[in-house]
Amino acid sequence: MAEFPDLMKRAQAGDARAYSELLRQLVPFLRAYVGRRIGGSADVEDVVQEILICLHKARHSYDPSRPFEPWVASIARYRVLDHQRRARMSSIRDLDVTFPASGSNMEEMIVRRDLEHAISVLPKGQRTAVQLLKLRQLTLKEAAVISGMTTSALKVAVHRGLKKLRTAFSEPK
Amino acid sequence: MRTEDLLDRLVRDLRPVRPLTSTSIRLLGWLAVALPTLAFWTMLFGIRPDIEQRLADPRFLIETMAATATGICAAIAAIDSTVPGAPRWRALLPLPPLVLWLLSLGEGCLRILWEPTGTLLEAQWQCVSGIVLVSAIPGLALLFVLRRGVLLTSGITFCLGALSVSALAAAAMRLFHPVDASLLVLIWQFGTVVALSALAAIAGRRLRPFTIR
Repeated sequence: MAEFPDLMKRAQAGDARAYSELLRQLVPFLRAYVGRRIGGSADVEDVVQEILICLHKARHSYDPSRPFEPWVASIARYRVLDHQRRARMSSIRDLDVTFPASGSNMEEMIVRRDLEHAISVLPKGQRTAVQLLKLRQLTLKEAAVISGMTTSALKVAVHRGLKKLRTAFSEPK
Repeated sequence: MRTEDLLDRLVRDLRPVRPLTSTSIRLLGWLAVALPTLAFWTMLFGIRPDIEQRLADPRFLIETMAATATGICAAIAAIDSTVPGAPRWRALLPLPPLVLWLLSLGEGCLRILWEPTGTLLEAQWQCVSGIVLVSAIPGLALLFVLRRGVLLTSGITFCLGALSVSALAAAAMRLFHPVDASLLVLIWQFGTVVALSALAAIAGRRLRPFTIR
């Protein structure tokens, strides 16, 4: 089995086989690292995917003459911290929603269930765009890599998806 | 999306990349732009008439050299901060010359307390505008160099970058702007350097421009 620095050097030169081997060997390490840092929540796989995208974009910054582990670790640490920051912001926003009136947690659960249902019946492209851009709050570029859609297609899809959701929620039941 | 599918997409998306050049080469590239720019502004404003006298003063030499060393060390630290995996202690590289610069100014301030001149607190807004003006082109050049790397901690990187260009600008100003009272230099030149670095840190941390996502 080739070493990480050698695989990365070949990946930088465009060797897809070496790159595939490198990424597949890295995934278990990343899962373990992220699991330890964010406490085994359901978001582990999402964060692992974000780290993989980050590694992909930053692959030019690795110097094969230097150790590989600190390079991966610093990118993974940054991504985990970013995830934790977004989670904190999200929990602060949730507090605003649930505090004003008693019983609003129940209302929120109902709204959440309705919203999940409304998203699930959207056409596939729109559903993917809404989930990646609005629920997971990924950037257009990240969402494009994950979905395989172009950024302009994602923009159109999320716009149409949100319009349908707005219509669905504004109609009287 | 399953992670397996993402891996397939990333592998399909693979293109050859040019590896990042070393910190020293990137630093030299930046200095090749920054130093001629500083020399240009110094020549344009004209070297101060008492330069020979000032160069004979050890305090002037220590202050100017400490400011220059702060600028260069901060540039090294800023460039290094865009290389994932680089030792994090390197962010502290500009600290020793920065402390020396501050101490040399502080020592001058203490001495001036015994020989007050009455002009110590006059406003020197031209120091602020001068540092901003002289920093502009080296700052843009440094931004270009930094963007080639990977911006993970943009607050730290921008703070070090602003410290670098403003400290070098302050050092250049010592050659053409005849303000020597330590308290004035401390407040208006060192103060501007600290303020610009703090602003850059806040802007970098809040706006996170060019960070990899």
